[in-house]
Amino acid sequence: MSRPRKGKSTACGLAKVAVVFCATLVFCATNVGCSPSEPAAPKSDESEPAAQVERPPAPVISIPLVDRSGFDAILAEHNGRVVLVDCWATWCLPCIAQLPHSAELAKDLGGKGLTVVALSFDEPEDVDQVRKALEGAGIGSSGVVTLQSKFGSSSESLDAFEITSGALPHYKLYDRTGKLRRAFHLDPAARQQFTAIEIDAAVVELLAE
Amino acid sequence: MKKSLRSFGMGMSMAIAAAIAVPSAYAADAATESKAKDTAEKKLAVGDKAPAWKDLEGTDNERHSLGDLAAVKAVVVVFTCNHCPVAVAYEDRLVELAADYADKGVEVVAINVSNSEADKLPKMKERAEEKGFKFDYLYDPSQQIGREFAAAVTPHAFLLDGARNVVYIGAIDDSMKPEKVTKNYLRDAIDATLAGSKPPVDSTKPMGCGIRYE
Repeated sequence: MSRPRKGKSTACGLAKVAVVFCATLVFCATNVGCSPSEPAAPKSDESEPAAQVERPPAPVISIPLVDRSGFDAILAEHNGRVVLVDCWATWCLPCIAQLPHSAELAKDLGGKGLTVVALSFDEPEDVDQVRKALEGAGIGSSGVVTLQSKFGSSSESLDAFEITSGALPHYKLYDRTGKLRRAFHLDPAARQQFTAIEIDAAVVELLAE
Repeated sequence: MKKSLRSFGMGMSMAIAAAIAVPSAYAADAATESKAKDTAEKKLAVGDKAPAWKDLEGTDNERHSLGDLAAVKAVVVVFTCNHCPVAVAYEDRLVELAADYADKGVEVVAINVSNSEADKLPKMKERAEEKGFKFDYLYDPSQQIGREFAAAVTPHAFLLDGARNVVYIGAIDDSMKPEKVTKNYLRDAIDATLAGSKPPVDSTKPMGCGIRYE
């Protein structure tokens, strides 16, 4: 789906990632689950046509609904590449804060063999809000593969995609053979919670394998 | 930045150095998860004795302990916070739940263990007043009680029976959107407990904002 982008922009990708590390420290230092911000309005209204006037025409982001087998099929399409799955939702404020970083990773490391998948756990009928959030994060031109769980925010979704703790944000990292190598989630039993820096470092390690 | 070419190799070794510098106690690691489970303290499960909070400050400026509720037939503990949109989406439902069961010997206790500025006690007090919380809304800045319950998300519900054993763990119901709810897991569990039977469903997976333990 998102082919590797060749070019010098990817050659300095890691330098850029290193800079983004700093930005993500904010994410690491703050309370991930309950950070202050404007609440994501849980509305399912159609987007108002007036908003289209100000925005330059951009291709509409496609967000297929997937169950586990659909997700696995997409993973299989990316065999040979490292795949980072960013499990997020519009109601997860730290997730929203991290989406631009996922877009950056896709842009900078796509040419080195990384595919980033943004898998939304919003309700299927809220796809317009999902799209708005993705657009706002600059996902549109990044090469990030955008998907949405067909089970929305339900327990079924958690089971299907093995979000065992039920907590978002949650990241999964697959190696080039399609094997799940790491899952990053918040855990009450952990002495220390994961950070965006660890995810980036793990991505780089797998790319080097 | 595009021109400041750093070789992939150099960048990588830096990143790996960063990874090594980070303590190895990851929140979760697929490869070591089972090993971690063996060594970690046993996670609270249905049937276990409930952890008892002691002297937690509430939005009413009083100190509260589980022991204060000795006469209560069942206790609903909900880990929540101010700014998680999912937790906010459940506030009205918590208020209704507390009201509906107040005369049936059921006490609802909301606990916040998040230490972000917007979640601390002064903001909790504001929220409790705005929403008319009639139940205790307690703050544990040490996060200890959250760890003891293994509360992972907001909201995360636990039901304690008369003997203060945990009889239900999980979601309040099956949808963040009130209009889409078809299964009221927590209410069903309370009704069963009051009737002296086991909850029809004693655990569900709650989805919500991950609680960040420090």
